[in-house]
Amino acid sequence: MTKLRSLIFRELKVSKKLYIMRFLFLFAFIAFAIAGTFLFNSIFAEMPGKEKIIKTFTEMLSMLIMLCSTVFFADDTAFKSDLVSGWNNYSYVLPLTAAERAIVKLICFIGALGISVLFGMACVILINLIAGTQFEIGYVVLLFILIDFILLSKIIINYFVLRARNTDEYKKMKNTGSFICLASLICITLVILKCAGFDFAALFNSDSSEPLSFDILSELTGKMLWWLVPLTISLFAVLFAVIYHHSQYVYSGGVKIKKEKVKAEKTLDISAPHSYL
Amino acid sequence: MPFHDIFAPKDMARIFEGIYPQWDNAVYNGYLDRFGLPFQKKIGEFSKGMKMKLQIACALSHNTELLIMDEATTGLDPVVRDEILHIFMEYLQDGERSILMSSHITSDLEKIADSVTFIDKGKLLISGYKDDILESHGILKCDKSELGNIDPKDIVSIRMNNYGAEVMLSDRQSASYKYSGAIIDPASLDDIMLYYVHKDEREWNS
Repeated sequence: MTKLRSLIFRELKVSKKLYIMRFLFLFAFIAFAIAGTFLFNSIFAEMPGKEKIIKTFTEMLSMLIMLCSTVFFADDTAFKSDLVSGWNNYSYVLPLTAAERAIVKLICFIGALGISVLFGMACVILINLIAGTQFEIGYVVLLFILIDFILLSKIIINYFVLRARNTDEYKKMKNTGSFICLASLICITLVILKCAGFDFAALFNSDSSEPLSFDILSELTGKMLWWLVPLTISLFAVLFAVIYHHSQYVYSGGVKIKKEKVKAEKTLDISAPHSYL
Repeated sequence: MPFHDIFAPKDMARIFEGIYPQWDNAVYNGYLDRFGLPFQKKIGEFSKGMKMKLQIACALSHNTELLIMDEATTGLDPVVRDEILHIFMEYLQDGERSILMSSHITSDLEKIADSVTFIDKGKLLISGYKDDILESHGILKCDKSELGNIDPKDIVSIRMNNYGAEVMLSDRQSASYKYSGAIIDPASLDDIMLYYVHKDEREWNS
């Protein structure tokens, strides 16, 4: 436990500035959302059909907050710093196992994501209260979907990025990983929506006398949590496996070497006065 | 240096005391005092010499039996180098620990090493106890015309210059009997390494 505590301390200290910046940005966004809700309520107080407009606005804002609270903490803030400082290579001579290295990264990610999601969810509940709209289970389902997308993108990007042994390689790997991740997520989204029978045109009410409405939340029912929660847990396990896999190897000069105990085959005998070789 | 610039020596203590089971904070703090390193200052503000001292302090504070060091004293001034070599000798005093050190500074090796191994272009040139190597080798200075009198088996290599030849002999004691009257000077590790590097050439110019 002390080992993990030390490593988590190191990871958080390295990422401290970035985390603080991102939390400040998130809080600023939350403050904007709350202020915006009050403003919107007062602007549309006397308008006919105000309930539907406020509901739509609140749903959009809530989804944006949840998106921000998940996406902001998606990437590994410490890895690039570790590459630049040389800690990555140095850590292979320390008495650390691949599992310990992987667990620390996962704990820091879950911790940061968990805190930001809690704040995000609290904000969503608050703005729904202010707007007088109901907090729907669809928000929780949407949150799990967003987390799964984040996990999937992290798995794909980490698969490439964790091989990098210098900043040039890191840039190349990140670009490759990001491109593949984006393409994969778009395909997955389209397939899921197609399978769910979504009709994009029907989402938007084309009648000009009726205000714009989004009905995504009504499609997201509590029953979906039965498979979403195990899926999320599985994706966390896959993410751990990817980080663990890469933590076992030292990438040196483009060659992948598994870190394991190697017995010396030949020893140099220095007991003789001296030997010429 | 593989530590982030934002860390201070106190942070390194906190990190390593969890990682190394035998980390000793008292020993670490002792080395920091001895090296005059500030406990709270960020590593990014350290000079090169200070960073090296910090690395050495970290390496010596977890009671390891074998230290492997790559150019540990390179880039340091002679005073600091001497101090660090002295600390290495103290570290080895109990006889239970060893240091495997690579260095281009042969004077450091002459001060501290028990055994030395010379490597040139991936090839091992010579290996053995330092004192044995120093005692057994010597440099014989003579005219170029006298080179024919020296048994080739005794010669490592010959450095030619405008004044004559300097011959590195592999067995100084037996050479002193064989070539009585000749002056054979002791050789430093630097000289020995230089002559062994040119062993295949046999005769070379400085």
